[in-house]
Amino acid sequence: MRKDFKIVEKSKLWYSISAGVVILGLIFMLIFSGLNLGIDFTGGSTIEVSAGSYITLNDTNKQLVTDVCTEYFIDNQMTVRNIQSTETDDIGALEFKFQQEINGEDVTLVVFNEKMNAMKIGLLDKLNTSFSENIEYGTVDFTVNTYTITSTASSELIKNTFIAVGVAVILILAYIAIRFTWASGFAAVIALIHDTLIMLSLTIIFQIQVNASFIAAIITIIGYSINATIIVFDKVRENSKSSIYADDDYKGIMNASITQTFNRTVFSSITTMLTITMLAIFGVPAIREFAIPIIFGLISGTYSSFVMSGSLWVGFQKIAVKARNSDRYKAKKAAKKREAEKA
Amino acid sequence: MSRTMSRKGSKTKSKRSIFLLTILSIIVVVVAYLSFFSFEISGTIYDYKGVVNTIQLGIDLEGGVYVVLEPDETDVNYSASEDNVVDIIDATMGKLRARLDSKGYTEATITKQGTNKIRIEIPAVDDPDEVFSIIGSTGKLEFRLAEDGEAQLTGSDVAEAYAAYDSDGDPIVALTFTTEGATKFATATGTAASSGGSLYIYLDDEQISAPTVSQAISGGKATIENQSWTGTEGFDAADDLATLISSGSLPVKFNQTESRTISSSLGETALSGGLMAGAIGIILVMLFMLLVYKGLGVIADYSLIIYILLLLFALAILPWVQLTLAGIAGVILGIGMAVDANVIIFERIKEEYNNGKTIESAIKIGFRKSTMAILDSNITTLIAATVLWLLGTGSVKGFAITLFISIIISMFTALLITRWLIKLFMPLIKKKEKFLGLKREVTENA
Repeated sequence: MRKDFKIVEKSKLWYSISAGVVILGLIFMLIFSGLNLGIDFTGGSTIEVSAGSYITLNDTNKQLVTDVCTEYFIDNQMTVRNIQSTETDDIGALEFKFQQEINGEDVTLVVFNEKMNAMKIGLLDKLNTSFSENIEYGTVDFTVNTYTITSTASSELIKNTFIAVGVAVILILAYIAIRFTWASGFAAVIALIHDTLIMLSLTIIFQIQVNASFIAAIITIIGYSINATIIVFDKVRENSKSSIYADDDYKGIMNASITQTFNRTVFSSITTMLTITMLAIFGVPAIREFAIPIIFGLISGTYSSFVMSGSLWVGFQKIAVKARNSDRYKAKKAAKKREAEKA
Repeated sequence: MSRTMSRKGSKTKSKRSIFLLTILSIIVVVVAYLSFFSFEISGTIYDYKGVVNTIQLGIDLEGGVYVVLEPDETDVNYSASEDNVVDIIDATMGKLRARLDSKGYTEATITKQGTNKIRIEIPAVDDPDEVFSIIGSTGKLEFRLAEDGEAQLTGSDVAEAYAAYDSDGDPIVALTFTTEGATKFATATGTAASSGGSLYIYLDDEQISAPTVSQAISGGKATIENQSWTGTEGFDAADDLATLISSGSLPVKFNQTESRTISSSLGETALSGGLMAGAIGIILVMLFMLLVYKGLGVIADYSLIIYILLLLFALAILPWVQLTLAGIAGVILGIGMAVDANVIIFERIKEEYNNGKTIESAIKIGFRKSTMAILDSNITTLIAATVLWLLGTGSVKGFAITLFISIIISMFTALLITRWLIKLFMPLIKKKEKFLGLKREVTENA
């Protein structure tokens, strides 16, 4: 006997697990009121304050930096929206994100930049005075970095994002349509939507900040997830032609194909996971917020190509068979045959 | 007879393999050394720069400034017609180039982003404020008869502008007008003198100087003074203005829609984090392949090293490739994916062997049958990368480019280098099954 996994038989379980994650994502979405959008999407500014090597950003110092900065921002009529801290071995940094509202009005970046440069100097001054009292040796060496994007530029970014995702999906679909049957195509596309949804859900649940790089992560996963699915379908195509599987139904062929490609699916995911996890561990925040969604997508992509797309494919094939055996289809075929005979 | 012949054949084969593998290994070691190390070439004044050091780094790794500019649509000279926008952008890019070059920012890259934006990236900037003021200024110079009067002359009437010191030692900007400008200037000063008033000089609608004019000035020369200009700082300010005037005013006002400053220490942290992730990632992937595929793992690791060297080389020589933080992510993700092609091939070889083929034909068929699957599975990722490359901006684009290059090189190394390495290794191995980690399971349908 072949020892194939019984994957397709448990399709209801797989669908439930995926639905569960997505529903959990929706619940969290209500709790957190959506994705944790970064300023790439909302427009606004980030001021990043890094403490040099003489200052360790322990809790006390962090609080002091936060207090000094917050006071300074309030004096300058800026609303701090989000404070995020990063710590690597020798450098600690605090990031302050705020919308570029001054006196409640959205100001243009030109004005903002002028203010920003003056503010940078003022802020550094204030930090250095506050800290020089606490420093026993060395010099206080804070650095301040700024990033600003206007809300018009960010709405354009969102527009371009949707275009990019749309174009990528259409092109990949076209490719699958050429290479595979419609049932495979549908199954692959649903798996792809599934992966994107799971990725979104997990990103919401863990409140990972979403910036332009998130789009790159989604499109990468779309490409990657579909390639794992393709490997399975490629095997299905091969096995369908083989005499060994002549007696098998769709379920049998799919289970056998999934089993035979199992190693590849798992090993490839592991190697990619190894490198991307290192990025999540050693990367700076900008890289981390890109790497973590990719990890989510990889898990989902491996899961979907392993259990989801196969189950879906069998479902679609059954629908196709049913349609072919239906009375209407038979009548149509008979009519066609008669017409052909007449001619 | 045939047995002795084949033994003889295998002996020459293994000699050839040892020879080729030795040569290849020497090449790999030398190339790796030349990639990662820089040294002085003794006896000459030249330094050899390792390939890795010639890879152009993006400003997010090197530190620097970037600004995205967009024409102000409310400017009277702006019209949304496509030709006009193209003209405006092209003219502005040229003028910004001239301004930045004259201030020594020759490493600045100025590119068009989308249809109506200009992206300026400048690495290793000490003073971002100076950059903002150089590119932020429209440079619209006007000579007026009244404070809110019409412009009698504009920046385009000026042939030459440079900073100098006047007889009192105060910084000034010396102007030489064009022939047309000289006539206009004579008329304007004449009018100003007869009405007993001043001539007002405006830059970007801000009054910078208002000299009193006693008589019409012909000869086409004039100077601009500013009371706030004193000492060397004043001279620098005068020099800035001279640069603005001589590089001409921008066709319309531009707004900054995006700007970022990255200190070099921040860039360094990002780079070292990325390199660390890459190095550990590679080592883990290599160990994983050894663990799972034994001898084939050795071959996969060997070809992964060649892949990395080829990739570094590509990053260094392709002129449009700049390694950004996101680009490192692309490379590292690409390494994980590169192994994928090897996995597909090795699994196929195992399967063919399991189905009763000899080792040699299992390898042959394994490669042949997995080629299509490898192409299929990589093409979708390539499509995704291409879309991001073409439609993405900034960091997304950087990621897409390196991912694209990684995939192309990984297909090349898996399908050609890995196959060639297996061919070279085979004659040297006595216990082939064990080396290749192959097992023949007795199953009913085998």
